[in-house]
Amino acid sequence: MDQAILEAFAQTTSWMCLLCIFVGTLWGIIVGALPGLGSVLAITICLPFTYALDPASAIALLLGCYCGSVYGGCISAILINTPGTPQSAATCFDGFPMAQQGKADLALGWATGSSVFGGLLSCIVLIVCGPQLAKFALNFGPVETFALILMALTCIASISKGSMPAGLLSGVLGLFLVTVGMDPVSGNMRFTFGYFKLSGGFELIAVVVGVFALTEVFARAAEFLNNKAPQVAYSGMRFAPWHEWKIRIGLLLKSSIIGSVVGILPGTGAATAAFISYAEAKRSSPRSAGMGQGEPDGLVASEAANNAVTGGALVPSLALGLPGDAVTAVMLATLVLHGITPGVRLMIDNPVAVYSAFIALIIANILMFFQGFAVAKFFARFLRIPEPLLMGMVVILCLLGTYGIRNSAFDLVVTLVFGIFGYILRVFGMPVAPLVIGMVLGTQLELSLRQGLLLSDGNFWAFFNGHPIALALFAMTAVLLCLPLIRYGLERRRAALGQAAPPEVEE
Amino acid sequence: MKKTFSVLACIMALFLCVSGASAANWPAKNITVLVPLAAGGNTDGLARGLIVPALEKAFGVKALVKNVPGGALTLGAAEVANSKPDGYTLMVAPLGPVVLQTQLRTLPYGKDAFAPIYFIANSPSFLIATKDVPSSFDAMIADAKANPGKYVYGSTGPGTVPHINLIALCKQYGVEMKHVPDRSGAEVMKSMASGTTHFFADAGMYIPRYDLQGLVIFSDERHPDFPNIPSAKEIGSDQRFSVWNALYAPAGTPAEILDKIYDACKDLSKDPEAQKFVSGMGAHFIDMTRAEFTDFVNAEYDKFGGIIKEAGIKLE
Amino acid sequence: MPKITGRLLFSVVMFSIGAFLLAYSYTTANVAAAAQFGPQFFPRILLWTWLVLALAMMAESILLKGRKYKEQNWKGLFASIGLTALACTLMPIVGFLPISLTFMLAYPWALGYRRSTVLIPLSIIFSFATWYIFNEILLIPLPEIPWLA
Repeated sequence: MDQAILEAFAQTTSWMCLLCIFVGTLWGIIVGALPGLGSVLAITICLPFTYALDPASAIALLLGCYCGSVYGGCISAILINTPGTPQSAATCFDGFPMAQQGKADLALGWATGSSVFGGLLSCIVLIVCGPQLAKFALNFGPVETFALILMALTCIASISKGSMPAGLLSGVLGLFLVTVGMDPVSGNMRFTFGYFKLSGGFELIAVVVGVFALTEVFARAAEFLNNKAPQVAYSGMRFAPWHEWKIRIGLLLKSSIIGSVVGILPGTGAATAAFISYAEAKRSSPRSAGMGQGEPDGLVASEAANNAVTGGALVPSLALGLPGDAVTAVMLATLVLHGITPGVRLMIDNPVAVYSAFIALIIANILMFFQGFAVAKFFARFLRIPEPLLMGMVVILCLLGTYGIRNSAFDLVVTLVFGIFGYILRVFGMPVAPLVIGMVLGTQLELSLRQGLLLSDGNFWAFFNGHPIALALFAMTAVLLCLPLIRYGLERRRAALGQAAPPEVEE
Repeated sequence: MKKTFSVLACIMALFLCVSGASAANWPAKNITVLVPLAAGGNTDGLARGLIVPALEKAFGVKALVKNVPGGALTLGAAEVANSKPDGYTLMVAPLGPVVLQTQLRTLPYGKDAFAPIYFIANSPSFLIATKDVPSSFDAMIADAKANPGKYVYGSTGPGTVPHINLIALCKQYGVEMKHVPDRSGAEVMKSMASGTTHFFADAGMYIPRYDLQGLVIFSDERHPDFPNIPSAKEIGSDQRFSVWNALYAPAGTPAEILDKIYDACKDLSKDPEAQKFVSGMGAHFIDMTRAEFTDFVNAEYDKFGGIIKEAGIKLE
Repeated sequence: MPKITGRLLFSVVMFSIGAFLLAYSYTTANVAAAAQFGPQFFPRILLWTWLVLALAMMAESILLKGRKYKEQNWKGLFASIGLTALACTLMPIVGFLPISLTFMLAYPWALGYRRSTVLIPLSIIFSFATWYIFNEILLIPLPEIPWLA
């Protein structure tokens, strides 16, 4: 076994492989930072290049890409309130307010540090107890997955600070939108009104780009008075002093563990991890009152969790051959193309491949730290150009990103419609993020519910009987749900009794 | 304003130099190969790894892969069906959208919207089962008959080949099993690994990879890699299923262009690199001329038509 | 008579849409699936929740204090939405390059940035660079100009 580790180390530190990691991570960060272009697109573009490489380098390229893109999304989330990838949606909640307060460089520092920490911790988890965790993940059947996603949905309640019914409605709308199209269980078409183009459903990226990016563009156009835009001035990346980091170590660890665990479980991805982590931070952090208005805790929770998923997702992929998400699926396919058969025997037949993946991921995370710095500085310059020009380019890039997913003209229209809808929501003070959360989680939620019901012959109460993991998750969901609701109720009561805050000014 | 106009005029002139094409000088520009699936799967791998290099080598133009997933592969297929039959848009797809989905739903295209060109690779379907199912086919059937609803079979979605395959099987042997669909092969493997699902009918490569067993192969002969798995013919069943990928063009594309494309691809089966590539996916080549392939497509269409009618399956 | 705020109207509209969808879900003939939980089972749960929440929103907007609105740049907003709408709908028809070139000229212009010495070169460089990177390097096909295709 040590032999394999040494050989893997030699392979991974070969000059070709290191170059691949470097290029892959940098590429991932840039693609991740551009709104509309996500992790899957980044990986798809790298695919042709992997054919010519040796297996270790091919995997290293893809891993670097994966890692970088999950991190890169935070850059645009913080700077222009538009998550570069859906996984960074939760980073907007506190990232952009911090940027508006002039602390964008600090926010980037928090995000980068947390991402790297999360990534590295998940690598350690992966190396130390990978196979055992993989076995544990097999205990997650439809009922457990349903319970887990329900828990992630409680994040909606945590961020609906303005108006609870509005936030929840936004979330329900998101959940509903994913039911449009083909029913995954019976094959029937739902809510397509006979329109063929809708049979594929709404593409998530199209909606995310519309509701975050275009809405932001429109909002800025509305605020652009006298050629003066509220500028987010900053200069690169800065790290908060050590004592600030020290008080958040517990949060960092917890979020990274949440991310690693969620990554191991198939069917859930980085976005789910970020939402669960955010909801948990909101529940337990002593600084939770400030969350949503520029409290670093929100950034730490979201970014540590979403990067911790990268290591976690490798666990079932390498130990069992079961990809955790779309990106790891592509990685396994690449292994097949290089003659390495993934599956339960990979660890036994080809331990070098497994270890070189771990090592590549560690190197990628370290490189990401430095590259993040450089990319942030570059974006600093880039964002100094006059706002109308910048927004014009953002729109074109977003439209391209949307088009590039499915090469669909329909998706462009979806983006536009949701951009307008998102703007309307914003005007009326309805939070827009729950819509995206609902869409991200909706398909898996419904599928696991229906699968569970099929298996138990329609008996919903069987969900609570004989599924200890699910019971534990349901209990935690209840806990996570109660706090925001109670807080909201108290707030309303206070308002009603006349001790209200002044009427909110529309932004 | 004048400056802008003259600049735009120059650009237009530049592009007019790269003018449109006719069948005689095909291909004069890039070819688009559409894959109705997301990147990274077997079909996508075949398109990028086999077809694109073959086309580029033969004709010297670039071939770009366009992924259009969604709607159980029908969105991409519909786009190809509606595109201009000038030979610049091709499709690499499995059998689903062409011979199966067209009979299950009302779609804006039919089987005849495509001109079949080249049959790429075939993997015969196996009845894959988890290790806790009795290893003999007959024993399993007996157990299933005695305990209706005990066994669960999975699929990559309603109306897919694995689903239809198991429906036909259950009907022929009179057993009752539950169907719990997933969305992709990987998810089905996960369900099988965690014990939720017992059966899945798909390519044999899953068997050694995920520590499963195969009960029967739905073809005439046994598979050389799996000498212990009986064939459907041996157990007395006439069900034949396989997963095959092929290259198509929109119907109406000139025959000379189709022949040119066919000639570019037909030697793939003799190339040892390509053979290794394809067997890594658990598939193998079958040589067919264009005419033979067209007959094959029609035969598959009729076969599925028969099964669907008999079992009374209809999805909206 | 409760004050008609924008929010109240919005929640009424949301309620109507939800009600319409719910009614629609009861009219379509559904294939009976196993375990009596057919395709409309989950959407109906969502739609009922939708209606309840829309009602809660209506109640809330009646009881809430009114919101003040800051001065908005309506011209800028509508120009922004209008131009983006044109870009979205026309790009697949007309092709990427013409739309990108025109958009990069028109959008900043509409928002008040009129320095053509910057606009023209920027739009040309940006459009061509993007087209080149996507089509040639990344190999992602962009919408073609139809009369050249």
